[in-house]
Amino acid sequence: MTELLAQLTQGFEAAASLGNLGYCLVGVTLGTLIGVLPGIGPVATIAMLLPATYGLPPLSALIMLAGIYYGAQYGGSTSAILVNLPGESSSVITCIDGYAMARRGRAGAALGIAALGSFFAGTVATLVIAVLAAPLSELALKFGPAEYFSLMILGLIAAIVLAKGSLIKAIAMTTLGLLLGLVGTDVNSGVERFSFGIPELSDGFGFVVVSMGLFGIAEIVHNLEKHETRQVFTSHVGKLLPGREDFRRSWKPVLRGTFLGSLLGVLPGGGAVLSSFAAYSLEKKLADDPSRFGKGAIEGVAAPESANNAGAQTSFIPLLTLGIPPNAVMALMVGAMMIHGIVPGPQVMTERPELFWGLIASMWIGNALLVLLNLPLIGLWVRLLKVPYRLLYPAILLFCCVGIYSVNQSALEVAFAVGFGVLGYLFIKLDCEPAPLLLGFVLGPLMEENLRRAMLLARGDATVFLTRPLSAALLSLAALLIVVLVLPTVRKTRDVAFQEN
Amino acid sequence: MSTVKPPRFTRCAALIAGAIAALLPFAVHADNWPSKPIKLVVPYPPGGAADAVGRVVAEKLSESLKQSVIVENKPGAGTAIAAEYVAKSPADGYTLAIAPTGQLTILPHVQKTGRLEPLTAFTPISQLAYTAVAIAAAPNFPAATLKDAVALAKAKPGDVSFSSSGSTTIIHLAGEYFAEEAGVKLLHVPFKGSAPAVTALLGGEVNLAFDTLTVLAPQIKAGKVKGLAIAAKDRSPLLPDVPTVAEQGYPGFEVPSWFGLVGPAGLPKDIVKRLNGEVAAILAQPAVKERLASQALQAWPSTPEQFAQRIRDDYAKYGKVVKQAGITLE
Repeated sequence: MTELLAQLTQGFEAAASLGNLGYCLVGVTLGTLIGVLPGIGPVATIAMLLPATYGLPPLSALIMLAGIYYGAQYGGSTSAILVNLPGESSSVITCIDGYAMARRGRAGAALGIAALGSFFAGTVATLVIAVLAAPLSELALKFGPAEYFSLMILGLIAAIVLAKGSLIKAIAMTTLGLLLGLVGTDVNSGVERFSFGIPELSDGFGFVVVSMGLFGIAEIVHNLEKHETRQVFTSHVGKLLPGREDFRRSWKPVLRGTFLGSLLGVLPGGGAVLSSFAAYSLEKKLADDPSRFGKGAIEGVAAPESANNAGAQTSFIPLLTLGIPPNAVMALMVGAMMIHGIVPGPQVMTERPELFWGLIASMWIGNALLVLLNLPLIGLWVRLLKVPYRLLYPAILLFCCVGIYSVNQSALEVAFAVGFGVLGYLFIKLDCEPAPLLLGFVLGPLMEENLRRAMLLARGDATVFLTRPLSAALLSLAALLIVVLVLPTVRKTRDVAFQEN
Repeated sequence: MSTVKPPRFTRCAALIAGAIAALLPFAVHADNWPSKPIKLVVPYPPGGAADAVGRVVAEKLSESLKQSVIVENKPGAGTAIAAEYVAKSPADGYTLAIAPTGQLTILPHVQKTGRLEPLTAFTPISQLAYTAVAIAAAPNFPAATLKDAVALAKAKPGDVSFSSSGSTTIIHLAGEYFAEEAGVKLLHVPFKGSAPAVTALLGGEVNLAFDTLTVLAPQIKAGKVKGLAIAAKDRSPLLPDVPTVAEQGYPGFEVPSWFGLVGPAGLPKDIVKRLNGEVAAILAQPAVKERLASQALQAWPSTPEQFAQRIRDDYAKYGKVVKQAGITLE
């Protein structure tokens, strides 16, 4: 314990120097900005800024780049709440209730709880990294292909719980998402599927393309269809900060979201996305009145926002302890480390403790700076909603297109997004929720990849999913969830029966 | 959705483009080249070895050519998107590309459509850098040397598995090539990239992993996995204790993963010569060598002719492996 304190103190001493505080502030500010702009993600930004970090000391460079990363997570929720645009897969869920809150004039409360929940989650996750990094990375290694497959099954079943209305529609949308995820190159054989000879499709549809189309563009078309004079958002914006009732409702979801996020974030590939979905599903199941969800329930913002921020933070664990980057942003951080002659790997923690602990300390400082930065900004963001929609929507569309183009420098992908926009408009008309589709789309390819890899390694023996204890546990949890799904109907009929008696 | 009709203005644009093309021969003379910024295409997303090589070269070329050289990441389709883009660009010296080994010497063997023959679709300018492919074993795998691993694989054909960063990559080919040379059957388990492939090795999900030194050296050094061999002529200064594959009974077994600088086919000779000279000077700088070394990359300059010969040799070598291992995209 004293050793840990000494290490943390060492970290804070390194991270709290005036220069490093400055780089942290620059990082989180930039991150917030690009997070708010739809589509322009941290990968492109960090890639552009990488050469600028050559001249900095390694710790300062890493602090700034990490700041961009979690700053973008913060900013991403802002555009999700205000204009229904999920910039990252982890903020898809925030759109559902966050945007509903904004439409009911409670954008300020939604933004406030997102910022505060994220700060709390960030603080806890920083502590988790400091204390549990090594054992958690061991846990991540226990996750083989069979375990991943079972986890994805659990995630997909949880996705169906997300549905606002009809269960059949939710299942259909999830399945459609799975099908869309099939487009692209098969990992096992390298054969292209459903790509119709278009090279841009050989890696499948990009996440940004699908989400910008289904959420952003479709929403704009839908809004424009209404009469021009009718404001999309009520001009009454309400209180800027969450009230006492909001906190009362939110504190438990924040705690549960933080726990889920910290745990799932450690798993490379899909972990962070799953955590926000899982947190939302959990809250909806635990709520006294699940029908409030989807109509602006503050729990539906608090839980996934805490979860995705905790997940973003703990996803540093594989990088810091194993030297393995779990996503594209982390791969760039590896690049940044290597430029400074630091070979990322298990030895960084012991060989360069000031770097390791300095980075951890800077995460907490960065989270604190983000709250200081974001709370005063809420007023500004909310005022943005008062801009007449005829001026706002061309700007949103423009940023969407720039964002999509910037991912792969491909104009065709912008055209694809327009196609998904049309599809999304159809879904709104048919009253189908796009969130389960997006989860199916993200998890489908991962699920298939791991299913086939598990089968390959087990030489075709399908019992592997049940003989490996972790996998079996996850599958039984999934089975339990199905029972819970069916249960309310059972309970309802029972209640009816009792009334008749 | 995918059939985007050409808008009307393209005809007009085509006319203008034609007019510009007619004037172009005057513009590409090397005495005023480069008169505008140069694009350097990297076929992978930012981060990773190819991107690192691209960024070092772009930065230093900008200094020596007194003209900005801008890195453009065009990932996708196992580098095929970038290949097609570069091959179709005008050969005026304003579009250059970092070409990894697989793009020039494996892709043409396995692609069904859009096949680009390396020496007719591109102009080789210079080799840039290389890293060796290494073989590592999982901590729970009973073999501690390459010989043990081969013996185990021989005892139970197809039972020993190896992870690779993807189907038809240079890493996959290295594994198949070794299996063939050693006369064993290994189970290939492809992943999407090196990170998950190495994670699987760390967790003992697979028995062996083939990957570049960039990826494996830190893990071997930290003792997290067992370094069995390096597929290079000499041992690496990063891992002096890990023997080469050749030392362990397979003479001549080398799989360098290299990166070269290419342009579209028909690049003017004087531009090639100028670029080759600048690159040779850049790769001789100690600071550049050091930056490459941090990624386990070694500077590897050459003349355009040597580079072309390297492409021809590796093209033939991997063509044979592809055929014998029966790797097809069917």
